[in-house]
Amino acid sequence: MPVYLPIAEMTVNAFGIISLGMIVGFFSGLFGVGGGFLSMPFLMFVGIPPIVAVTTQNCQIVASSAAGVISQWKRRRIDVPMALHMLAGGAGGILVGIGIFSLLKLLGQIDFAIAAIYTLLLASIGFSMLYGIARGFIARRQGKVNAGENKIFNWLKTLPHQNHYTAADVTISIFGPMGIGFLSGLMISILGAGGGFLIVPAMIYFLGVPALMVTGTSMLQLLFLSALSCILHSLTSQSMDLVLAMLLIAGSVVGTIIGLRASKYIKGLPAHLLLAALVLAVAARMGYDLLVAPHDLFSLVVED
Amino acid sequence: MRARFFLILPFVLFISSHAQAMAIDVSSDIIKVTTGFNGAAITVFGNQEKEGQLVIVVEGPPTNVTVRKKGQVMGLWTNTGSRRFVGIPAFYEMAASGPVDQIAPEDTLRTNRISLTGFLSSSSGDNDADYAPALVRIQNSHALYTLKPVGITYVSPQLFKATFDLPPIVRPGAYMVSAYLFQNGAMVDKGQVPFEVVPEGLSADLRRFATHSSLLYGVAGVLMALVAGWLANVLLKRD
Repeated sequence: MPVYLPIAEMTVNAFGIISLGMIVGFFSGLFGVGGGFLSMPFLMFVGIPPIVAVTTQNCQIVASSAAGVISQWKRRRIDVPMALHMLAGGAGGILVGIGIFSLLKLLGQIDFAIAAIYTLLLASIGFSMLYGIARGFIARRQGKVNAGENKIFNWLKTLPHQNHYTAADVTISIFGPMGIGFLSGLMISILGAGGGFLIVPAMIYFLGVPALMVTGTSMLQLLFLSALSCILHSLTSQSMDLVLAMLLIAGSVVGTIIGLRASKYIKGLPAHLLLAALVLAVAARMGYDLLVAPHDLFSLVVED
Repeated sequence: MRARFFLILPFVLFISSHAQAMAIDVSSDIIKVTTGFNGAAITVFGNQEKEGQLVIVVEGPPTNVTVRKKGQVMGLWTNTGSRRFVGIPAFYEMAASGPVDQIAPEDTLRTNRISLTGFLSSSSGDNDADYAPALVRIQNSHALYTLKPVGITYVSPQLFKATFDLPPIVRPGAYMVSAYLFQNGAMVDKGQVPFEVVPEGLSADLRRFATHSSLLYGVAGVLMALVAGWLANVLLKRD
């Protein structure tokens, strides 16, 4: 069924976009990840302009993180002050990110930059996942438990403005959460993905936040960051496509329910391997465009 | 009485002479781009009283387009050059009763906008001859430009028609259909009929909303997403 996207100014197949939303929702239900890393590349392959893809993706992240925040809130697994400090850094990240985005667009390098950053990020995340799986496997065999202490954690302990976060039960400089928030803001405004792959491990390893509190806290800040990024992008470039956003959200709600059910059957090592394979596959697809001579050397951008 | 006759005589002569050579019209003067829009066809039909060859051009609103060229930088493919084309038509398709280059000389065609090359000269950027052909090729792949004119069908020796396809990505705006009648390489008559491509319905309202009150539009999008998220949560609990 063809549907005309008023902002992207093109006709897409509604079922295709809903299916994409379902696939993204399925994986986020199955693995508990955001899924922005899947839909952003796909939207760009379909030919949605990068700016429309990012802004619309922000809107979809608002929906998925809202659903997550509600359920985590009920279980009291959110450290609100930490989320607020992350948000403060994140707002700065979004402002810088939107500036970088406009500059790259002006230079005609936005597609290249998005593809290059995705390739680098996803490839390193995918391989470190595989490494983690292998190491965890060995550690479990040898009965070792990974200690959470490292250089960055210790360095953050020496910075000013130490704060005790009661819910997360950790004392650390507020610059720690703010820095990670800044990174999250950059990613959401440039890449259209929440960056949970980076944020969640960073909060565990660098801030010492217990694994149970990480998801809810990062989701709360992501909820506000994606909302802010969506509104600011809509304001500066009028690039949010509500029709596209609603199709994606509708699909992802259904997909998440299926994914959550499937997560009862697919878990542990197979689930981790599957996620690592998926991440590496997207990295390979993005990297392919950078390394292999394009089918057409020329491309065209129509001004508004 | 006599004076009055001489007053209107030139007009009568003009209209009749005009009508005698050629007259055209289009199947619809408004094409509506609605939410389910998947392209449209527009038929130009007309009456030709004199012998001669016909060329019909459908031209879209002027746009500015940047063509970028990829090159390899340290092994990676990225945009390395660009050329900006100003005021080129968003849509340009042609129909002709025969090979256009045999109907009229190049200069005549160009001065009457019956040639794409005229438009493509007003550009700036890299001085590479490849950009203009690439632009035409890409626009053609999106069914926005013709490389080869479509045929004109004669229903009778005088009555003709030609159908043009507007693809789903056609740009809203004012379009112009121009028909030219040539005899031995010289233009003997010309007729023009405009039509409009107008966004309508939900998609048009959304676009207006997004451009005129973008802050409210962004907030509305976020609120809808929040409701969807809440709904998902309710559905998940029931599951």
